[in-house]
Amino acid sequence: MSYRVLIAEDQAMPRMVFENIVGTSENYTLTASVGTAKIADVWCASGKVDLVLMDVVMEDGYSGLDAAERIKRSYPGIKVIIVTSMPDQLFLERARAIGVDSFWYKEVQERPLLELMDRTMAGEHIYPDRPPEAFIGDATNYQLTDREIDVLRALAEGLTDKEIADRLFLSVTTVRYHVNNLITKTGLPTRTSLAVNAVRSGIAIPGV
Amino acid sequence: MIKTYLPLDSPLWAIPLTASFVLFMISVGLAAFNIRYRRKSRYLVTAVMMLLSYMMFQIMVLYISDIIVTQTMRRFTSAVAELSWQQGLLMFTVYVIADLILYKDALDFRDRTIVPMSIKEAVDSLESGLCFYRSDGMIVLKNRAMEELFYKATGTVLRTGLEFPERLKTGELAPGCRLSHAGDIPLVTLADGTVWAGRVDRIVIGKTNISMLIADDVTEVYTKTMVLQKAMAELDRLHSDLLRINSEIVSSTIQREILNARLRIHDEFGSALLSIRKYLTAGGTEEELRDIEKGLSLNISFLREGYPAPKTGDDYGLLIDTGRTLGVEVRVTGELPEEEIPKKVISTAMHECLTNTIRHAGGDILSVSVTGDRIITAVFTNNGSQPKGPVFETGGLRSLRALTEKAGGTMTVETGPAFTVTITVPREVSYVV
Repeated sequence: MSYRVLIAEDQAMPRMVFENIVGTSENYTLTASVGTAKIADVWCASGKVDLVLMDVVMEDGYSGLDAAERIKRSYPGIKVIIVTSMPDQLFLERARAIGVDSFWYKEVQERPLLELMDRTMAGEHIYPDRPPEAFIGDATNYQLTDREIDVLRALAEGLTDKEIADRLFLSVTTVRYHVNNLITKTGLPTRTSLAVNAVRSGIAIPGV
Repeated sequence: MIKTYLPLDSPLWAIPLTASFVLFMISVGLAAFNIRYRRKSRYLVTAVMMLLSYMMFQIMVLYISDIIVTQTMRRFTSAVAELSWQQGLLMFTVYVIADLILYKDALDFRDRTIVPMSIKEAVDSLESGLCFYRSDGMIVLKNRAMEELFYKATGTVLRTGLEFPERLKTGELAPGCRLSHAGDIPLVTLADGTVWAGRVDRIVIGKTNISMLIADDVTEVYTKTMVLQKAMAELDRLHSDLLRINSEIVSSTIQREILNARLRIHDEFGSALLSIRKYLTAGGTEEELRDIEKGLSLNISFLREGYPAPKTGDDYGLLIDTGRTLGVEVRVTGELPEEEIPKKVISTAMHECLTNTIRHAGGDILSVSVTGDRIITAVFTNNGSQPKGPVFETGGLRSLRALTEKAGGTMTVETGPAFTVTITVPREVSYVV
């Protein structure tokens, strides 16, 4: 039996790679390849999809994780694999919470995507232990605490210390302590440079 | 028993005379208090006390003036005058104790009982202005804060309850005062810089409709709101700057991703060329040849086809195209809104209805009728099978309702005769969804 695959990926190169992988395998046929996650669930409604390969950060601002959540809620029988190059720890956590079946990093490729697809369709859930290493200033994401990454994400959204404190249920003093630690660890000079580099490195993407 | 009498010319008579006068005045005070608070049960007691003290006072006066005219008075006054000093003291003491008990009772009553005066005293102590009035404007109750506020705002005295709401409508205020609005709430800025917010509530007491005019001092809130609005505007500007920067960063990250992919193809292409060279010089199996061919053709296909720009675009177009691909024609009559917020609402509704048409109804036409100028109305129907039972708003429909209502619109779902979703949404929305 051949599984029907939907690819939701806004970038041409990875999309073509995925299309080729699906096209060259006997176990899979390509239902459609779309450039945005917005309409992925419309395709799923057609009953022509068994597996979705879903990117997360799309150029039109629509989150692949939001789309995955809708698909898993409305069509729990359809398998979803998240494919991303962003090392944001939150992507992994949210994917697990949504009930995404498997997770694959484009840049690292611990195992071939085809093997991951086969095992996912066989009912396995395959997740990497942790995101790939990425640099922000002089530090890597492995050297930052979870709390520091939360603060970094809020900084990237442009929140003030008070707003960050309210969101994370911390005191303003604690937020400032974390920001100072981030500046010390990364060697970056300002809060703004922390915010910019958080997104550039992919360690903390706001709004996903 | 020999009775001793105080000689009439003794100056000591001044003591009982003064005492009886004071007692009389206290009795008058107590009587007035009980009448004022309508304590009818105390009327008789206070009347008797007042009468007795009056008589005592009069007797003292008579003694001093030595004018005893009638026989009746003579007999009564003689009886009193003939009391021994111990009996007189006892009678006086009993009277004083009775007066003290009544006085204490009056104080307790005043402290523990709510009477109309208590209400007036309580509302006078409020910082907010209050005025209760009937439908014809007759004032039932007003407090000092309201009187002062009205005087400062208009330069005149508050005589009728209808006058203040009228002035708040017309804006006729004293020089230096200004009327503005926060939404529907009128705000009066006085010459001294304080800001008052007014509102009128209606209450029914018995069968009477009473209007309640309330004015609150909102100076601090007003001032802080002004400061906050300035700060919010600055924050909005910074936020949009940051969003723009972030979007540029995401774009550059994607470019980096493409570059990495190109590098990978370059490496794989090099590796494929090496494999060909090896195969040509040293030979190999058919399977190795097929692998080389496969790898090479994959890379060549990337190079030949280039990197076409991903299909992006308009939300409506995207949905209409997807519907067409999946066998559902989206027929639109009227003009779909292009303003940001209504577009988000209507495109989300189109998305939801298209999904329902494909998934549940099995139809091949989704009709969208758009009408209205200031308020946009969009009606979505399909030609598929109609729902057999009631439709519960879960998931998509529930999210759509929340989104629509947040944008100031309404959503109606009808299940018969045809399944219809009707959305109304204002074209101009002052806040961001």
